Amino acid sequence: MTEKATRLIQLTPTRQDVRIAWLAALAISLHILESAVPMPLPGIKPGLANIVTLFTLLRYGLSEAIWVSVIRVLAGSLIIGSFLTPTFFLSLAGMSASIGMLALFYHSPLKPGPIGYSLVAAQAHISGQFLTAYFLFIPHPGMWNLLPFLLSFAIVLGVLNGIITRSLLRRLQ
Amino acid sequence: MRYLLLILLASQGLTACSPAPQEHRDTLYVFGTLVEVTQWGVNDTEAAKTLKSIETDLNFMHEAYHAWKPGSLGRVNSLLSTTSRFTANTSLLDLIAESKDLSHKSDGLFNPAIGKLIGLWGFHQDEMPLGPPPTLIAISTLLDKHPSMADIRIDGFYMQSRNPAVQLDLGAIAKGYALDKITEGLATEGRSNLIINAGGNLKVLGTHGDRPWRIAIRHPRNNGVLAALDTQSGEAVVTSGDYERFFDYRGKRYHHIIDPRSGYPSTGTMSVTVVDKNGALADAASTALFIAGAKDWQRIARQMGVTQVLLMSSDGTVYVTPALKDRLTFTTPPARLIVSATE
Amino acid sequence: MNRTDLIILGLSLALIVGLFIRTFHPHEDGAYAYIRSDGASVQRVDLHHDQIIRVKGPLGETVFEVNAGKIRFINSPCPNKICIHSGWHDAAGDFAACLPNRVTLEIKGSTSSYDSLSY
Repeated sequence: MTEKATRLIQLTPTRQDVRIAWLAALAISLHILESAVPMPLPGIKPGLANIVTLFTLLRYGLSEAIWVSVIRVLAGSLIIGSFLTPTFFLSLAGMSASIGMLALFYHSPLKPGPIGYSLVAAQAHISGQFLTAYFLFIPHPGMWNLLPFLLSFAIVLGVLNGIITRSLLRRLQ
Repeated sequence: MRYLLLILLASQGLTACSPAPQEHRDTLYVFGTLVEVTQWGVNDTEAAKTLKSIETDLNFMHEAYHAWKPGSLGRVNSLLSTTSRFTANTSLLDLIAESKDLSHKSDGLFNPAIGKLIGLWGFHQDEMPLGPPPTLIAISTLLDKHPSMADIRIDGFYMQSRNPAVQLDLGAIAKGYALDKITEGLATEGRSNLIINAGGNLKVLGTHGDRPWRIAIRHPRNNGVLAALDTQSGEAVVTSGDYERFFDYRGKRYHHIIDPRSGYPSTGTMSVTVVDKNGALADAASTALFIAGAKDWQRIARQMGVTQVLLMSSDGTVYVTPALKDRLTFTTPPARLIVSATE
Repeated sequence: MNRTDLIILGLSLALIVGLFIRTFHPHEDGAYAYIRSDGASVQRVDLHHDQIIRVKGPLGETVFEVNAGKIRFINSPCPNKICIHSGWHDAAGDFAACLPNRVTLEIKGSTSSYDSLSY
């Protein structure tokens, strides 16, 4: 038995890293909390975790928002145990579509407020999930009948989440 | 989302069904139109045999009843114009006698004696005419001669017209009559589960296995289905519509259902469907009721003895008799539906 | 709420209304097309399999294009080209014909709701 040299890699987290970790943890908690609350309709969730994403975007910028979202989906699915299951891919698709649209608006001269961002994110999220579900899992034409209902909920929840985000931002100023 | 998928799968029910092997569908081009024959519960050999006999019969009748090609009716028409007595083919005599009776009951709205007028409008050719429409003078010259089925006298094998202007065009009854005769023949031979659809006029025999044959009625405007019904064996479903044969000239549409009173294409109706066991009656009545229109169709239907009628007028209102309404499933809900009895 | 937010909300609502109308106007998506031509057996065409279909008629060749659940006439040797002008067909019950070339097209849904059509 020879003694092996052990090399310690020291990672020094920046303030930003810590903040991302906290925000991601918060998002994951909300996500798990949500999955425990029964909803009247399947497929519909308040998307409280999106509030964290929006808050991060508007307060700390796009790259932190992306980090928080990605960590939320990856770590969140590992914690719930859905990593690499259909649920995971749906979450990933929803998150990517949502972040993609947010980035688009963030770099545009339009400058929406929290409610505008929230609406865009919620609709992109549900659309991304829907398209993934349709093309990967059940390409049945009957699926399209659900889309208007899903998007209606996305608008309602998008506005609500936007209002919550706005008041959060005001209180923490 | 996971639950959503499950519910979807359950509710949509993966009901992908392929056509059963016992069903045969074939198309023939006879009688100047596409004829579709749907057969149930027969093997390939029997199906081909039935198809062949239908084709032979339809070809024979088409030759006999054709309004503008040389044939039995062509001979009758040239002899009618002489106003002298002549003998006619029995297969035609029966049809002409029935046309005479139905024309009378329809108050002349179904008038097969206006062959010249139909020809004047250019509908005596396989292709759609290109226009222009005939002149008012040409139309009124023909109308003034009042060609009518009442001018024809049938006496045994003899026929005679007292009006040289009478020229027969049996286009509004021949298909229905032919379908009656052919299905009668097939039924006696025990070939009893089929639909013959001759250019949209159809007759059913038997059933599709353990369910009735289901027939859809075309919506006159949107290319889709207006309603559907389950049929009983021996029923004919005949539709007359302004979209079947027409030409556009200088932005105006002229269709093939000519009102014998005005000499012009009948206005106010888009389509009429009549369901009856007598295919010839259904065929003639669909034309007569089309011309009668929303105001007068009930009276004419009562006189002709048809009880299952659907009429869509130009404003999109659907008029239907209670007897037919109970059997219909509307796929395109009409804007306005009026149920009116003929009794 | 700023102006951009209002515009986004307005567009979102318009999208929903449009989708509801699109989804619930009464029509069933077609799954198959029946192409009938003179003498030949009826061709049953799967609308979810993109393809070009050629059918012989007395005047020549009528050509159909199938694309993503819909079908149209793209060429036919008839004088008026009514069949080509009728455009795409995707709803069950749709019916179009090129009578001069004796070819008809009928769309059926996956749950074929009827056996024959009176027109």
